[in-house]
Formats: sequence, structure tokens, C-alpha cells
Amino acid sequence: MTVLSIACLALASFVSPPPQDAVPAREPELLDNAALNARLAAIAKAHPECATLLPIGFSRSHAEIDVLRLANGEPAKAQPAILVVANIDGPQAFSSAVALSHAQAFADGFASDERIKKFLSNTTLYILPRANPDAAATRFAKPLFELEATGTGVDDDRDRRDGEDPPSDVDNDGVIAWMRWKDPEGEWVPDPADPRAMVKADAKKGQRGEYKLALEGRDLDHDESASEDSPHDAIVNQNFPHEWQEHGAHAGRFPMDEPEARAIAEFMLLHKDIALVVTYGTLDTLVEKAKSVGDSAPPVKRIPPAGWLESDANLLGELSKRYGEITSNKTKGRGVEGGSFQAWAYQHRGLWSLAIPLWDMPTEVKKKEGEAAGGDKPEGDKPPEKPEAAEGAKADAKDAAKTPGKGEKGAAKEDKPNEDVQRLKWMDSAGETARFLPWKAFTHPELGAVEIGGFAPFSRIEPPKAEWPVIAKKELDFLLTLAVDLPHVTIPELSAKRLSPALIEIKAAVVNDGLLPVANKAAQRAEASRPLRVRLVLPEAAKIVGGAPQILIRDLGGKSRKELRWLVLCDQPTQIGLEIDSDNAGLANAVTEVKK
Amino acid sequence: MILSILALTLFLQTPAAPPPAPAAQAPKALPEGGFPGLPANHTPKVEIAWNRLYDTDHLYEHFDRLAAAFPGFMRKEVIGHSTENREMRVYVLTNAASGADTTKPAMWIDANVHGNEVQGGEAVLYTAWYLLENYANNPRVHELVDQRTFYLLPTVNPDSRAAWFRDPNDASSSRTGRQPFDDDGDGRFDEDPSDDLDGDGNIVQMRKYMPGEGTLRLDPDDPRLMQPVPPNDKGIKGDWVMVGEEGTDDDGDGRINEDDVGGYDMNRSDPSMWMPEHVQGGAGPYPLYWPETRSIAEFLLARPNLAALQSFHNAGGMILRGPGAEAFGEYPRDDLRVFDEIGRDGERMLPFYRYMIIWKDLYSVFGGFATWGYEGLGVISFTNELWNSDQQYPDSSKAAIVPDGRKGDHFFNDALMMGSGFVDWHPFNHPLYGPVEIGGFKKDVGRVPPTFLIEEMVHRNALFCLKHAEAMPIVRIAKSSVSDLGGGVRAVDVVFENTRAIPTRTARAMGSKIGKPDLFTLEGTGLEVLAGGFSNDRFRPERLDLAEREPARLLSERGIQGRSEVRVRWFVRGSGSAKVVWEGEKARAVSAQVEVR
Repeated sequence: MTVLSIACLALASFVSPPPQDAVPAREPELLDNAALNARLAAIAKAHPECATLLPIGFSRSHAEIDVLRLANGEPAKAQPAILVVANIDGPQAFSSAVALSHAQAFADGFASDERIKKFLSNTTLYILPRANPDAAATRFAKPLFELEATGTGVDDDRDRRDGEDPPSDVDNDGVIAWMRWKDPEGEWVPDPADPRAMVKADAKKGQRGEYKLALEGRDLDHDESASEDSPHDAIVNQNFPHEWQEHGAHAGRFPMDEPEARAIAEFMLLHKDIALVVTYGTLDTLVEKAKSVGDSAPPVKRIPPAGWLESDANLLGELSKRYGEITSNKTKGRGVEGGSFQAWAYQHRGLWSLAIPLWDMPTEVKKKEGEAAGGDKPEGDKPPEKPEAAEGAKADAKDAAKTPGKGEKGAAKEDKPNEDVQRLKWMDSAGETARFLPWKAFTHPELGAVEIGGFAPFSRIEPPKAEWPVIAKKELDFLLTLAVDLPHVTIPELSAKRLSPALIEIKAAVVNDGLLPVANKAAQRAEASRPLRVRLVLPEAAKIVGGAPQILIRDLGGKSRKELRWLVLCDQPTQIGLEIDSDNAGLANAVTEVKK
Repeated sequence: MILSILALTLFLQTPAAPPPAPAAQAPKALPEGGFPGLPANHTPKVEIAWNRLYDTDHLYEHFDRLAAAFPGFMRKEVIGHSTENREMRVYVLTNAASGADTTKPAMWIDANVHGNEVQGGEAVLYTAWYLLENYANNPRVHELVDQRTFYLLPTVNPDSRAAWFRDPNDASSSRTGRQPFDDDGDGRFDEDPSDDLDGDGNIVQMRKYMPGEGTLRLDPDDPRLMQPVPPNDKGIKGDWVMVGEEGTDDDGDGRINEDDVGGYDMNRSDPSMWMPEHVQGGAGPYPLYWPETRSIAEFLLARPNLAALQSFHNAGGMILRGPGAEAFGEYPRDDLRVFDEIGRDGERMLPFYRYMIIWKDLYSVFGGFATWGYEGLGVISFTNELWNSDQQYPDSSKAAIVPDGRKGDHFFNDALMMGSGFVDWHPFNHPLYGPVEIGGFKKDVGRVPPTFLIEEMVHRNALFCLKHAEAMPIVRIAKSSVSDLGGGVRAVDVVFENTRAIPTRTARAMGSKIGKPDLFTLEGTGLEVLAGGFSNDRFRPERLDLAEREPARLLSERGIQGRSEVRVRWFVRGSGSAKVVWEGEKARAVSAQVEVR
């Protein structure tokens, strides 16, 4: 090989963000499916110069799923792109409002705002504000309910009857809340610190369970369990192939069986220009350090160990630092990673997958004025876990966000307060008391005397209204910084020198101007994006005698340079060209003249 | 003669009744017959030549002939379309008059997911032919056609089957599906395939004569073969090099044949522990990505009556079972017993075939179909690798005089095929390598049997499938009795029996909660079911696992194990006629009337 490849490894430097310009802060609006799609269409219509509506598929209930593409006209081939995905977790309708506000800000600011203009000058932005319209629909319907599962059902209670006992609004107050009732087999007790909150009885402390706890619903199959068998069980964001939990109730029949998951996957396979994905949901890769493994950690029984590859995790850490500086968001991730879109995007597609949980009800009371309201949790506190709500039922996992009470797994740690008690404290101090529905006695048609109440649907995952524009603005500020990170290839040098009247030496340098590598370690491993393809363009009369006509470059780090060399036989004056083709790092070409 | 009469007498005097034979439920007087099977004085209704291999169209045509000749017994169902828009055809074989296909336990048999592994298609065809032709005269076949369903998909990969027959190929090419794939990552698709340079319809090998510069020399006994020159200090060099498969550098990137048609593996696409490309080559972008694979998965997931699965491949002579990867762990003991019983019988039925575990004895496969059949669907599943070239010389006592390896292949080809399976080396002027020689074995040598051995292969494999199918559960109500416990309470005891080897719920189905639990019910007017449960001790009827609720409707995740019984006791008040029913997914429902008085 006569090609010299010298990678000048300039370590990517992730500088602190420049001072923030005034980007028009769009008030995030919560729109139902029809209104949201209409709004996206309206933006595209009002801004044909930069916004294009791309319908990507339909949900299981045939709701259209739309992406809005923002670019300076028709994007150039291989121009790197960022995809923002929101509301893939069903109840996270708030995240769709934030994503929509970004779309509006980009469309409005395209002509006037310098940062947006600069962003769109060499980057494409795809916004998918509502990946899971079926689940989101319950945010706008009566009864109000945090629905997560929209896909294929299983027989949750194994009684050979499918979906016969779903959650429902038993007291007909327009809300599906929680029920507690006294039962000698119950495992729950009201927390002495705040009897509104329920906690699992700790036998070691001499406590004995008194209550059963379940999502509000009937016991239509008379099995002494309420709301334990929904007709839908598969959750879109557990239906992706990375660490898919086969036979798990929420995993679906097979990966990408849920139409929403498949639509997103097909969209991504078609749009190889996407280099980075931002997902607003319950998972996190930016607030806390992502779990990582060595770049060449050996597989176990042929399966690679889970986690981000170390080199990628380090670069992600830099983005994470910047994210913290700009947004000061400290919301921690929760939810199920196996089968998630966020994990799939990185592990199988080799994309930078920035997973952002926008807000959770704080477990600590706000200390002083002006401090971010996002939950500043005590050091070492664990992210909120799935509650252990209704016994025997899987309903808890589907409806995690609003359990009224949650003890620690097994025996509660001595000094650890019940997080729900902390949440209630925050709620009371913030004047957000409507977020908890006081327990109210009710005569249940099957269970008899029960109490209905608990955290109201969406109360634990939607911030107070005043914070909406603040969160949207900070997320937009962060998003705007990402364009410069994406890889862009250039050819800063192309020279030709005659070594003899017939022999020409050609030298070229290929540079990645972005801070992120052309392909991260996961992409290289998965061969998810094609390598850079460098081709020499020669006239008929010229013949390569040293070097290959096409060179594939799989690894070109951020701010890195690679030098290439060829020998060409040609005794005529000629023009020699060099072309670089990529999936998502732009195109480049250069031409040089060679005299006789 | 006298001896056999004595034997018969002894048999008749045996006090214990013989266990119910599989034929017990079939009509007694069937016309004499036996073809296929018995060769004299029998003619099939539909003649099919079993010394040939058929391309996709002809294979489908034979199925259609059979379906037309046996109306009511086999019908075509199009379950999807392939990449090139060919029909994905399942032939549903059962006696429609004895019940819809979905009400009977079913065996799935497919073949040819790898386009070049063609002969499984003929084995599936033979299975259909054997069942239909013998239905009228063989009581066991009669039972299989009446009481079971066969879902027969003769080719999973109809496009690449068609291409393997149609185009120049070798024994291993056209394995993939036909969706374009950029194997070499240069942004172009399928632009550098193998080339039939000499236009003779074969893709074979290329060798180049380079006197004193090579690594190989001609075999002194047979110049069609080459042998490596051993490392030496005597300056002895070879005169030949192998320069690869017939082809050239179509895309000018300096490499030859590196981006052939397709380039993926539809037997790496199934959901159970599916792994992406960098772990499992050929896996594609996500599980069940290709239309062929997805249509099959949708079909099977919609048929909980599936109780046995076979997927034919070639070659090597193997009866493979999962798991495909070590990470699955070992199979549960109860299921293993069933696999082992059928697999070991298979080794006897299929000489030269070994019963093997995919990951341990062959290689690791993530996303394989047979593994999904068991792990995902909870069904006893096998993959047979049809044809073993050891079958060229079946007499092991002559091992000393039979040549090995390629020499043996040549002897066989010369002696028994008049040399027709080999393209003799002949000169060709290669655009890149200059003068070379092109030659080698043709595509239908090595992985498929020669014409005169095809019938034996398809018969033995079809009959192995029928053995597997006969093992699917048959449930019967073996015994029922009523006893008065006093105080107006009676006990109704019912023994439900599965007479076959495969359980109604495999241990995997039970453990992973696949499908529905078995259901045991009692109902009758004037009867109140007070309690009920499963008896766990046949001598102590009071030892019961009592149901917590709905005693008239007992559920069991474990079902009825192979060749086993489940004893149920119901406590009943009142009198009248009770109907007891067993209902499950993997056997036909059974019921009986019990008089409670």
C-alpha cells in the first residue's frame, strides 16, 4: 500500500457554549393528535423555505405519525442530521409540547435568528414530536389516564380470558386514579410520616400489611384482583431489538412488531444522514454518566457486554457536561432500557443517543428563589424505581408514574424517607396540591369499601405550567449547540507533483471539522454507517500505479486529519479530482491541475 | 407357522390389556395399499418423479397437482410475498371433513430458507404426497391426515431457489435473499458478483499456472486435483495458485466477487435472542426484517395449534435441535426427554445423520428459526441437514479401498455419474490475471444428492417428520367415576390422558407463559361445583391442589405431560348429567358425559 495514513489526532475539544443569543422562546403547547398534526402541517405550509412535513407511518390505531424536517431548502446529500424524538413514552405528552416548540422556533427563526440560520446552514433537523399518538390520546380524553401500553395484549392473569379486567374510572369522576382497600393479605400501610402516601409494610419493623393497592378499576372476572388484565400490554418503547425482553408482558410479540416502532426504524434506515438522536422520555444518558464498558471488552458467551463503549461514553460525557451547564436539569432516568429506542439507536444503529428526561416531580423542597425546580435530590439517591403497586398485577409497570405510594424494595432502608412523602412535601410547599387526589371512600361494586385517590394522572411527570417555557428554552439552547459537533468532512489539501515527466505524485488531506468522529465506536462495530468513500477522479489517459482507486475510511475522529497519497502515470497536462462521499458527514471534492 | 400361532395364543392370554395402539381410533377396513412404500402392484394417483430437483415454479406446480387430485385434503394459502414478489405458499394438509385445520395439532414443515439448499423442498413435497396417497389405505396415515394438520411451506426463499436453478451458481451461492445489500460498504449494491466468465452456465474455480512461483502442484494421480507443496528447504516450489471463484473485478475496486447479490441470511432473523450484524453476520437491520421471514412469523403466531416444527436445510447429515447459542442455557429436562427420544429415533431412521445441538456441535446461530420455534413458540423443533456425502460410499467395511475427500468425490463422479458433475479445467484469458484455467464441481454436486439417491433422502426425512407428527399430543378421557362422599356431596374423578410423547404444554411454554394454560371444566344442569382440584397422589384421593376460585374451571400451566395422566377431582352437589371437557392449544379438545347420581 502506498497510501500514507497519518491521523493527526487532535483531541476533540468540547468548549463551553458561547453566550446565549436571544432565541424566540416558544410557549410549549399541549395539543391533541389532530391538532398537533395540523400544527406541523401549518408550519410546513407557512415556511416552505425550511420546513417539510414527512409522514412516516401510522400507529396501531391508525393515527398518522409525522416528522417535520427543518433544513435550508432541500438538504444537500449526506448533510448530517439530528433527529429529535418526543413522546415515545406514552404519558410524556409534555415532551411533545417541548419538541413542537422547537419546531416552531426553528421555522420562525430561520430567516431572522443567527444561531438558527447557522445551525441549518449545514445541518438538518428532524423533529418527531409524538412517536406514540395512541398512548398520548388518553392525555386529552376522559377518563384521564396515563396509558403506556398500546400494543398486542397478553393474558396478564393467565386465566384464559384476554383483557377482561382493564383499569377504569370506577367512581366516574373523569380520572383513573388508584384504589386502596383493607385486606388481610394486603402488603401496604399508610406511611406514618404522611398517611396519604402508601408504603410497603416492613415485617422486620413489626409492621403488618393492611391494604391492597391497585389502579382504579373493576374486578370484572371476580378474581379478587382489580384492573389486572388490560387488552393492551406491549409498550412501543420496549419493542426495539436491543436487549428486547422476549416473553416480557410489555415487550410485544417480536421486536418492531408495534407499528410505531417499525415506522421509526424504517425512517431511520432510510435517513442515513441522521448522526445524532435526542429523545425526550424517561431514560437518561446525559444527566448521569452512562454505563460504559471498554471499547474492546470481550463478549460473554458471544454477546457483547451492555453499556456505551468507553471512547463514546467519554465524548458523551463532554456533551453531558455542557448539557448540565446550559439546562441545569437534574432529572434522573427511570424506566426500562431493554427494548428501548434510546438504547437501540446507539447500540445497533451507532448513533449518538442523547436521552433526556425533562421533568419528574421533585423529591426535595425548593430551597431558594430562582433555583431550578427540577428535583435536586440528595446525594446518592437512587432514581425513582418502578412502584410495587397492585399485587400480582403488571399494571404497576405500565402506570409507574403516578403510584401513590412506594416503599423501598423489600425492607426499607432505615433512614431513607419514602420518596412519595418527599414528593407530597414538595407539592404542598409549591402550592401544587391539586396534583394529589385525596383518598375518598367509595363502595366498589366487587370489592366493597375502598378508597380512591393518589397522585393524579400526569401530576408526577408534567411540570408546573410556569416552567414549561423555561424548560423548552433551555433544551432549545442545548440543541442549538449540537450542530457544530457533528462530523463534516473537508479536503483542505490536494496537490499533484511530477516526479518524472510521466509519474505524478498526488497528496491529499481529509479532515473532519466536527467535534464528533465520523463514526463512533458503536457505529464502527455495527457497521451501521458506511465508511467515508474517497475516490480519485482521473482522465482516461491517466493510470493509477500506486494506491487504490477508492479508499474506505472507517475511523476519522473529531478534528482529525488523514493524509493520502497516490502515484499516477500520465505524461499529458491533466486535471485530477478527489471526491468524498459519506452517509452523514457531508460530501467534499477538490480538483488540482497538473502541468506538463 | 406353528410358532406364530403359539405366539398369538400367548398374546391373547396375556391378562393385562395392551396399551391403546395409535391405530385404535382409525376405521378398521381400509383398502389394501401401500404406495409409496410397497413397490409391487401399486400405482399412485399423482406420479411425481423423485429423481429430480424442481425449481420454484415446478415445485409449486406439483403441489397444485396434488391439491387438485385430493380435494378437501390440501389447499393453498398465500401468506405473503417474497422480495421479488413470488407467492409465499403454505399448503395446508388435513382432512377438512374431520375438522378445520386450526382445531387440530399442527406440524409446520418448511425448507430452503437458504436458496441453494434446495432438496428440502422436495422432502416437503414428498411428505404431502406420501400422506395424500396413503390416506385411504394406511391406518396411521389416516389418523395423521384426519387428526392432525400439516402446514407445508416448500420454499422459504422462492426467489433464490428460482435463481439457483436459473442462473450460473455453485453449490453454496444463492443462499441469501434477493434484496440488494452493499457488502463492501462502497455505496453500491451487488455490483461485483461472481461471473460466469466462460459462459458455460457454471460458477466454478480458477487456477493459474505460475511455474516456480506457486504454492500448489498437480496431484500426480489426478491432475484435476491440486495438492499443497509442503514447506521445505530444498527449493521445491509449486507451479500453481488458486485465484478464487470464477469472476472478475466488476466494480474496479481491486477486489473480486466481493459484492454478490444480496448478502444476508434469513435464518438469522428470528426474534429469540436476535443479535445485530456485528454479533451475528447476516442478521439484517432488525428481526424479521425481510418479507419472507415476517410473513412466516405472523402465520405461526396466529396458530396456537402449532405443536411440532421442522425446517429442512442442507447438508451434512444432521438432526439439529436448539439452542442456537450457549447463552440460552440448557433445555428443561422434561422437554429434553422428548427431543432426545425423537432425535435418537431419527438417527436410526436416517443413517449418516447425527442428532446434534446447534451451538455445541455445529456453530452458534443467533436468530435461527428452529431456536425461535422452541424458545419463542414453545414447540419441539428440529432442523435436518439433508444429505451427507458419506452416503456416496455407505459401506464402511470398504473404507480402506475408498478414496477420501475430493479424490473420493472424483471417483464417485467418474464411476457413477460418467463424469458429468465436473467441469474439466480449461484455459481462459482473465482480464486481470491473464491466462488461467477454469474448472471444478458443478452446483448440484456436494450439497445435494445425485438423482438416484434423492428418493431415499426425501422418504427417510418425510417419515422422520411423520414420526415427529405422531408424537404430537392426543388427549383422551381415560376414566371417570363418581363416588358419594355423604351429606349430598359427590366426588367426580376424571383421568385425562395424553397418549403421545409431546406434552400439551412444553416446559418452555409453561416457564415462559407461552400460549394459554390447559383448561379442565365440569358443567351440568342441576349440578353445583363446590370445589375442585388436581390430584397429586393416585392412591390418596384427598391429596389435592385445590383451586382458589372457579372450581368448575380448572387451569393448568403444566398441562398434560407426554404419555401421562392428569387426575381431576370435583366436589359436586346435586345430580344430573355432567359434561367434563379438556381444552388446550396443542391437541383436539375432548369431552365426556358423566352421570352424577
